[in-house]
Amino acid sequence: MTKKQKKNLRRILIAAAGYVLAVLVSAIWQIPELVRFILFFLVYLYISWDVLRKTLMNIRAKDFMDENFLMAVASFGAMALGEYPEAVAVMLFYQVGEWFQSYALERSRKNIADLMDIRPDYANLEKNGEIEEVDPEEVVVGDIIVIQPGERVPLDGTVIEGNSTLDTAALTGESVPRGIHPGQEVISGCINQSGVLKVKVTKAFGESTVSRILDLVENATDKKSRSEQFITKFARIYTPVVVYSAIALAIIPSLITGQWSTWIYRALEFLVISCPCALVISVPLSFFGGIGAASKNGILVKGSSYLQDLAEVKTMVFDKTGTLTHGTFEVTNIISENPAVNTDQLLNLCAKAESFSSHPIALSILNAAKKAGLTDPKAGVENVEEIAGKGLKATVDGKVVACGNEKLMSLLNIGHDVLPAGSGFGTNVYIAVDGIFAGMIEVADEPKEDAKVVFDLLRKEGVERFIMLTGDSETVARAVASKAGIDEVHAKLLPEQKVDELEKILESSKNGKTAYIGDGINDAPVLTRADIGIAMGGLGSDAAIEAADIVLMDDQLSGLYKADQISKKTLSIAYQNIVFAIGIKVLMLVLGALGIVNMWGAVFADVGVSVLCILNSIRIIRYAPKTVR
Amino acid sequence: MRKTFKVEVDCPTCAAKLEDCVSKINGVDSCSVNLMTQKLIVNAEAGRHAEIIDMAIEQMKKIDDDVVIYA
Repeated sequence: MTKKQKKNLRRILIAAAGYVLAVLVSAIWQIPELVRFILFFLVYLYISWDVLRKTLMNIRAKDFMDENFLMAVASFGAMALGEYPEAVAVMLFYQVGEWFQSYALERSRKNIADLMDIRPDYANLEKNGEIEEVDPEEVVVGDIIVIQPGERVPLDGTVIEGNSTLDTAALTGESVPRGIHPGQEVISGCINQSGVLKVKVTKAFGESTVSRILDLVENATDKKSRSEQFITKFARIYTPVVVYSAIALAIIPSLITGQWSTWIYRALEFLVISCPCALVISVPLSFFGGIGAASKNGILVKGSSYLQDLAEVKTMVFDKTGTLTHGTFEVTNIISENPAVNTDQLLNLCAKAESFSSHPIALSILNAAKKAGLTDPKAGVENVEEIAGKGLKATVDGKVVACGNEKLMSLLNIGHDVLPAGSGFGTNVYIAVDGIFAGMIEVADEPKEDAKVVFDLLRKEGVERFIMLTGDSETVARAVASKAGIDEVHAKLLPEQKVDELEKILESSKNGKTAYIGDGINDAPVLTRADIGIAMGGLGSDAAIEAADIVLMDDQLSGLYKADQISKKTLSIAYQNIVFAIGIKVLMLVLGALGIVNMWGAVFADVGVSVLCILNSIRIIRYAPKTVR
Repeated sequence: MRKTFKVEVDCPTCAAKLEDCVSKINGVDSCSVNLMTQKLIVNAEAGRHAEIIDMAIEQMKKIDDDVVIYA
């Protein structure tokens, strides 16, 4: 509770006590009308002075059609009609409602702020062998920092000493800790769990992941959703309409029937009922809660408009490498075609032959062999001879090993027909030992396993087209697309052609929004051009965070499904509030005008509906989307 | 240039009023008030922000003096 809220709560309690006292006194004793009036009027002034003051202020500023004005007129009118207890009650309940609103707003603000509280307080800087606690801002690139277990990683850097696990939940929503070893990158904002880490800083605090994320979250909701804009506009038109209707309700029937006090009383009720607070507060609160729920799940949304747009996505356009695939080359298949050389031997021989190469494919084979237990790849390797564009030859433990593509094989008179076909995703490395074909190792950038499952779920949620844009070759693109369940493939695109292709897609999918999902590496222009740009694995790339509207911190495609669910939940809550609030108000307005509902019902229609809508909005913060499994 | 200022606004109506007031100040291209993060984001010519905020503080006193703007 803030100071102001405490003060207001005390005022409400005192006023409530005063009100009860005034009611009791006037019920028990026969007191003169003037005394009764003074009694209630004092309580009234005490509880409503700020509303009255604001109303006067607004009238002076010539922009007075807001809830203060409605309440001031309604309660003043009730006073004038001699309905003192009603007048006080209206104000008292209005204040209770306002207090509750402000409290709920502050609570949810705090909840979400806590969710995103990833700011590190200090860094342990190592200087001349001594450790000093400093502000992360003071650390410069190249400094060495020490991170103890339980501490938050203050700056981005590379581990130079120590093994540990990192809790990345605050950043990615992923609850499984990530193992970390020397040579690997650490990202600020994660929590070091088990071991002491020595880290060489690679980014100053201002450019560190944690600063960028905080900046992004704090400036979110800059772009307001259409629902919010609608509500603002609605309130602008609505309040004057209600005021004029109330005036009409007070005058026209009275002129006909001559019952002025009845109709003025009904007009005042009308004003109380009509207060638009419930809508005006609950809709932005729903969206804010939605953004909070998203960030809890490792999804950063840069504005509530994107949360709304996401629910209307009919076309999803994907980048291939790093988005649909893992983005790293790995040995995916080993085929032995010669009984004398089994798959393990094949891998070892090939890895040894390629051990002097720095080609990415060679490195991935070497890595696979090391993982399988190869310890000293360079031992026993002689006469390495690179054959440009074909592969290489080397003598390994006395055997001549040739590894390369089909051109190398035909050089060794190994025909095309003996070579096994691969899966089509990647590159096939054929191996011949002493001139005899031995087998094949396939190195591929594998499609993510969950792609198909996620897309099937998204299809059920209303996404109609899945399209892939890639600079890669047609065959690889087709293979990945069929495994992932992509409908349309546009291959061999240069980065600038991707934008053109997206323009065409935008042109052809006018009904519904188009989202582009990429990793932010050389596709920033496409991210910007799409209705919604979604960057995956945003932790690594600055460009992605800059260009995208939504950032999935993790590089799992399931994040898309989560984001979709959160977006739909948020919208449904926002609509529930709009329909509920407007529905109840219209109903009560009609009942009030007909004289069926009294002032108490009017107060419920105002405060009660507000409170219910706020409670409904807050629900979204605790919303947990279904995960893909 | 875009600059962000901390504000204290408790209700959507006050936020709308602040937004209205600031966006009408000469030199402001656009502005938005974020009720949830309590931020006022002003897009204006570089170097003019201080002046704009001073004007906003002055004008808000007349419109709604519950709104606090931290320059």
